[in-house]
Amino acid sequence: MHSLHFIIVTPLITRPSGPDLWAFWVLAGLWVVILSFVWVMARWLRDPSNDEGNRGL
Amino acid sequence: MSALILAKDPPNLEALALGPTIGWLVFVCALAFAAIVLLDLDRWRRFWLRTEDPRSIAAFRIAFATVLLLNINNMWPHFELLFTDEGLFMTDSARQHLAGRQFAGYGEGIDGEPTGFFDLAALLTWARGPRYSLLYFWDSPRAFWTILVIWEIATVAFLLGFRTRIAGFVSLALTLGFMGRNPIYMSGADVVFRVMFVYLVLARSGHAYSIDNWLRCRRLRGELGAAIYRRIPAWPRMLIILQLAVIYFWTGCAKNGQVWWRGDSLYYALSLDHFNRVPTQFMGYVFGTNLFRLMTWTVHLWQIGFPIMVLGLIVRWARRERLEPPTGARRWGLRAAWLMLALTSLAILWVGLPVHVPVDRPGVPAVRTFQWLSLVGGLALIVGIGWGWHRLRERPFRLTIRGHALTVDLERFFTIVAGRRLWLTLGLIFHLHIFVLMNIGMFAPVMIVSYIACLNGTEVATIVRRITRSERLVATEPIDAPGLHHDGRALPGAVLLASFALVTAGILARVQPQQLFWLPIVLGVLLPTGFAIDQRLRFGRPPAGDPKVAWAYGWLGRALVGTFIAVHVAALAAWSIPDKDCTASFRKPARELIRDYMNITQTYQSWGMFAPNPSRANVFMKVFVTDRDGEIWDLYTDANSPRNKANPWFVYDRMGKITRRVTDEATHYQKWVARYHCRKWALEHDGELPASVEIIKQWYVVPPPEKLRAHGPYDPAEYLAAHGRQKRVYRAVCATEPDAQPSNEIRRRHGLPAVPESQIRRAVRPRWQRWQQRHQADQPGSQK
Repeated sequence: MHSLHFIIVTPLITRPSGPDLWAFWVLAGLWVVILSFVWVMARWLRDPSNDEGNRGL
Repeated sequence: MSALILAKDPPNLEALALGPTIGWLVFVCALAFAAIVLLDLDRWRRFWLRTEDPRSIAAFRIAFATVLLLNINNMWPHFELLFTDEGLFMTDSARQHLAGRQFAGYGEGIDGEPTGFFDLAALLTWARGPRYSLLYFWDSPRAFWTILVIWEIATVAFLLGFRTRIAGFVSLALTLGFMGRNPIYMSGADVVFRVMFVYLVLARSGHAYSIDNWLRCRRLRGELGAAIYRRIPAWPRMLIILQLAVIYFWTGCAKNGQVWWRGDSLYYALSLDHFNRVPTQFMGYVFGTNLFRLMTWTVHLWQIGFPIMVLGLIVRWARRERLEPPTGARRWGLRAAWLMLALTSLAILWVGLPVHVPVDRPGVPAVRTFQWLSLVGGLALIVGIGWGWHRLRERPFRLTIRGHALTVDLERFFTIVAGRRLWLTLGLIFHLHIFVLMNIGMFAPVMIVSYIACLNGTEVATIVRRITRSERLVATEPIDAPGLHHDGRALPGAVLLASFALVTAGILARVQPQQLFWLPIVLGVLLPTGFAIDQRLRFGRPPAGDPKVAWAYGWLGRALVGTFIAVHVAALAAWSIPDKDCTASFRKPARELIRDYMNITQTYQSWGMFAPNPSRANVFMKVFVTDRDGEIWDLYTDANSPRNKANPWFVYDRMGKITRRVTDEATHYQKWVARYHCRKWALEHDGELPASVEIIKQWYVVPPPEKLRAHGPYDPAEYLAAHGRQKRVYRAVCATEPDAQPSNEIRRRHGLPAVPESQIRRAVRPRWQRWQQRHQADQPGSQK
């Protein structure tokens, strides 16, 4: 089997391309969804109209 | 104890020698915990045997059944491979090799032996489990598809809540049948499905969001006092929450390898080609040495700390119900019991540390230093908890933050530190990452679904109301409704103490060892129910009690269910003893004691996923068939290798799990895979067997994150081509390999002519003689 010689890159991050690029967007989209969910939950749980007596076990 | 579990694997002999000491200390912890329960019996009783709103477990039922349908049906390309006699195992071979111990007394009619179970003892051996499946008896493709159709109907009926209880049991039985018939495909997710399903069918999950309840309400329309949502026993949902905590705590503690300590687990998990949905090499290049490490450590700590959430739920529930702790001497006894539990845990840490920390290594402090630091830290924690508890309850902190007054009492403290909004949100984030970025089946969905059980009925109803935008929040049945159990009789503490003392005596007798150790254990377990029956017969129905307390069952029911809960929690705790050298001396005997119980209830479990380290190599399995003419055919079985995998990869393929099991964890399956391909080739090629089948393992080691950071991201296909290795792990000569030739019955099904029986070699062996010898050896007075 032939060895693959790695291309030496600079310490700077190179811009992704092709499948790496849209995979990167998938990850970014996931974080946006998660942060949105956390924000919605925080707003809902901070709602003073919630009866604390109904929460929990 | 968890600190020891977190540490590296100890030196063998020293750790083994510590086993008895640590075993006795664990025993003392168990005694202390029993004292905590006995001294605070009323609150424990109220916790387990109360009633609750049915909407939480009903919502869990619907979501669980949905993911269960997805989980099983997702395997449709491999149904025949896994579950029929034309798959990996023919029927008799499956009995012998997948459930050999259960079918030790079952004859296959070979060499004149009887067919079927030899005697009652053989049937009882089978009944001990754990693999219960109709597919060990009827597994032709037609039989399997019939069973599958019944399963689909039962599971959909369970989802919709039609004849919920019976549908649930049928679906559970058949699901266990699939799992038992061929565990090669099973992953951590399937174990979650199994144990959670057992708890779910024990709940009255059809009392809400179901056809059953809708029909009931239609029948009762206009009837005064009839509640839409009747109260149900709460204990199954409590067991589900407890099980959730066990899963996370166990798996968190088992992840004690170097990769987890370095924080590289997420990087390696995402770099596994047989898991990642999308190419992750660029993500690993950017985040592998920074953010992914932070996320790995966060997940690890979160898993270990998850039981804190359960503790918070219980504490807040007790305070909300205004259940006061015992008073006087009982209260001091309770404090002493908690202190004993804490100090004994510290003692375990002190004793176990020397065999868990690396000695004589430069830069590593001395063992004694570790011990004293742990002791002082532990004592400070004990004092801190005691002081903090008292302070938060009696004199809460009053803070002012940005002009807002904030009171931090016990309730608020547990809401912040142990609240579901923190622990379940972290869990959701963790599982969503796994689900979006990795294709590992239904583990993330079923765990997220299980979080529903952590919400109470009113919370679920509130969520449903928001989604459906309806105005009304329907209340559940009032707690003082006359149809519920409000009796005032309780099992005396003395009876429970006697019960516990008998079980303890039995355990001590087992340690000795004494032959009849099981007798006091059985008596101890039966005593509460026996006492309850005696009281019922002598004094009739119990007197009325507090109408504001609605018990889940009447007097007898509470004794029975209470016993079951105590036995199950104790068994689960014993089963969860970690697998380490320092526990070896007592772990195996403890498990042997409860193995039959765990097998029969189908709650046996192990949660070592990605533990002690995640896999750091991509592994693929190729199958090459050499036909009669010498031509070699590649069957392209490496479903998740770069050459076959879809990009992005949406649909989960169970072949990946099967591959990993065959090439790595359970290599005894290799011959069966080869034999299967021999038979399948023959069936697809007019009955002509190939010359041979070879199983090839192909793999490449994932480069560490530092190397990726230095050299940049790689293309998996190119990296496999450049750095991959492969070797043949099994070769079957199809003409002579046992079970590599289709039987004449299977040939007939496919319209192929029969062949002489001498050309068909079978892997099954007769059992009659061995069964007879075993029984003679077990007879009293026989020579061993």
